[in-house]
Amino acid sequence: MHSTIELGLDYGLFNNRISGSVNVFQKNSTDLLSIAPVADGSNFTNRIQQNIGDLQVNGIEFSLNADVIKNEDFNWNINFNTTYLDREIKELALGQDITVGGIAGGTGNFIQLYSQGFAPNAFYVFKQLYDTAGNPIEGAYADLNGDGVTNSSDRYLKGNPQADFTFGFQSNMNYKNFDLAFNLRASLGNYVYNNVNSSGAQYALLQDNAVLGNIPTSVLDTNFLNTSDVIISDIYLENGSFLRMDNITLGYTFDRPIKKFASNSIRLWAGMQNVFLLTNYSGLDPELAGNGIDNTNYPRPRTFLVGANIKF
Amino acid sequence: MKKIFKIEKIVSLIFVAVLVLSSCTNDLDITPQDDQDLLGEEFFADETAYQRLLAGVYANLSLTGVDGAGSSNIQGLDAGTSQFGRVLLYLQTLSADQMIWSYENDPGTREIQRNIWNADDPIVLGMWGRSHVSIAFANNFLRETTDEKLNSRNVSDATKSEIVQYRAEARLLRAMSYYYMMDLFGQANFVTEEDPLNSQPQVYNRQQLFDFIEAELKAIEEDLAEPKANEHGRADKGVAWTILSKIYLNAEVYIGQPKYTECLEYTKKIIGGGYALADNYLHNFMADNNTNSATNEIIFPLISDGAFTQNYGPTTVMINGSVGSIEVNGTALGVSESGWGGALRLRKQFVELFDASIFNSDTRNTIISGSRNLEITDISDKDQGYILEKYSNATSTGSFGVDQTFVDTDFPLFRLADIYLMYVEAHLRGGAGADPVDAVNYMNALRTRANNPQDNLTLTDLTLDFIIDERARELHWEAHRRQDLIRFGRFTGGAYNWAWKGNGSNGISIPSYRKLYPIPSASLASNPNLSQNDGY
Repeated sequence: MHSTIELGLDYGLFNNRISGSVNVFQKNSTDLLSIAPVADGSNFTNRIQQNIGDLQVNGIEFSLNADVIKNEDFNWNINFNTTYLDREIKELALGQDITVGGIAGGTGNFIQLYSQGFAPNAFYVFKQLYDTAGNPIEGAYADLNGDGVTNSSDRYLKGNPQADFTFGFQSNMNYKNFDLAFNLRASLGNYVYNNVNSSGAQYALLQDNAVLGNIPTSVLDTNFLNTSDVIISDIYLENGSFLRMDNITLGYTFDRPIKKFASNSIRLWAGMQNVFLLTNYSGLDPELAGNGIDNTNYPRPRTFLVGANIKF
Repeated sequence: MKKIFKIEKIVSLIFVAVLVLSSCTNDLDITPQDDQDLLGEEFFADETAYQRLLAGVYANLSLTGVDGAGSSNIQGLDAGTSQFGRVLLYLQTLSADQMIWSYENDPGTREIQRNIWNADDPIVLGMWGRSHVSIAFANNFLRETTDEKLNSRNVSDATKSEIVQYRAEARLLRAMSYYYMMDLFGQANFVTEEDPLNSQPQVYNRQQLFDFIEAELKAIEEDLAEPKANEHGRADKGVAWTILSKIYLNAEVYIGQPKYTECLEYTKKIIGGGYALADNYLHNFMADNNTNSATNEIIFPLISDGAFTQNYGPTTVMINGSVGSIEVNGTALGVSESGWGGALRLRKQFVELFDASIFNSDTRNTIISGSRNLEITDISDKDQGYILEKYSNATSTGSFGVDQTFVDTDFPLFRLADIYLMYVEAHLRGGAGADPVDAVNYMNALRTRANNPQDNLTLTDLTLDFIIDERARELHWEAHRRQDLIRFGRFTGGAYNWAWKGNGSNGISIPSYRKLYPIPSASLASNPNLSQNDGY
């Protein structure tokens, strides 16, 4: 069951040279299918699917489309959009957390939780302690519940794989016979758990099972020895905000190069895909198919293209 | 091997079908009108169905789900880890002074072996969930085999008479689950065949569980097969007597009353039941322990078979896990050369039980020290601490199990040597009815079988201190230790500290509430009749 409250405003200014919309919405999803505990012994399992689970999404969408320059020789059009989303799990069956986000490094190990009052897939980690020089202390975590024992009760929820803000920007320019187009995308506030480092960047793995192996160089920053002591540390949880240009294309059009025909054109163009990525994330790419868990991610290729469009 | 008793997937598939269906539109929002309808009368048209249905109840002791070793019918933890014998081993042995698991990134293991577990521990959840699923399967069998149902299906008299024994076995397995709940949690959801599916179960405390288990096992005794007369892997009178012996031996812990005389009564029945020690101690822990001389000794095994019952159960874990990181000795154990890279090692206090020179040639001493350090200062360092070579996927005749990961070695849940030790202990604790000559003979029989030169013990040698140590030497890594230490008052408190007890490398006192495990938080939430154990 979904219910959505939405307030929208469409606008157009200066003869619609600038137009766009603003939307504010709240979407409540209730009775979502959820795995819920069932009284042990009363069924042939300990969990069954039930319609229990409420999710609330609050969001703002803004878009702007502008003809910045529009004259005989020069046209420039831009399009900008941004979305703010805040997701929160309002209710889970019997208030019980659900573990999700399986990771490499440990049998049945997981890094995320569905928990009431938090975003879906929030990361569930230990709070790393550092020495006075600012270096992380292996296996030392904050005793968050203050019971004098550091165990799984001291894990806390930090960040989630979904961005708070996403931005899109497109630009199309035409000057005489030249054309230039590109787009930019940005994401702010999304977190990534670097499972490549967490399960691999420990010195003990240099000689795992008496076989020499390679490990990620981030071990030089942490000087960690053993995977099992550190794999749940929030040191491996990184801000995955990024700005990237997916593609850019430059073209030139020859009008009627073949005089024999009344109407023809040739457009020569060159372009690039995956132009650049700006991010503080230490792994290959913070934009992941999975839920913010960077494990076996295939790197994006950078592609150079040239082409000709011939019209008769 | 063990083809006779291979598990029929169909049985479990039908179980799985009995789930509450719910959905987004109201017309699908139904609850089962009668859970029995869903089982399908066609299934019972063939009268062998009853044996297969019983196999499903037994299967839950070996398998975790209907679709191989990676599937599970309980959730909230890794499928393989949820195997019955595995979680039992973790809660009874890993939590005590004999075993260390190197990979503390496996959720729950760190908390169990350092005695800092909480109600969210997935291994605790696994034990609670798995045992209650056993109870549900047993109840389902009993619901499907009432006289009324059998008559309505026109079941033949021959099958009906077999079903009498099947029903007794289902009730035994249910009682065994309640026994482990009583021991580990001190309470359980109490569900019988009278309760409909998805009902809100009442909760039994230790006293109620004790009374139920005792009465139930006595009630079914007559219907069970004679000792050793049943198929391999199926329970007989000997199993019922063993559980009774165990609840009586631990009765002071469970209900605050000594029942040592009753313990002796039932250990004597077992000993008189035709069991005999295996020729070789290690036969009990080999790939062919379903056919070699161990069949005389093992009273109840948890089946493991590399072809038919693949699972990540206790023997698969212990054999792959005990391969040393330095020794790389997996080939001799019938698994891959490096096994699991040194997952399991020994704590110092256990190794010291074999220090005296008389244990050098003792066949129970399978400790490998090599160039290793006895002390484990860093649990992740797999080169520290001695290792053990007790369980093996090799056979007594020198061949190997069929699979290099999933071993053929059954887990000896109950065996005669344990009964001998229980007999002597019950006698020493004041139980009436033991013959002191027998007591001495039983202990010497274990020593002689182990090739120990000190096999002429006398009555004065038999003290409780001797018993607890000899139990460790004989029964280590067999899921008894926590229960034993509690009975001897050495598990909690600071009287006996072992390496990493209470999260200190030399051992620290732990509070007495840790004699019981907490009710898993999800299970607690799903049955409001439960209340959390003190301290958690």
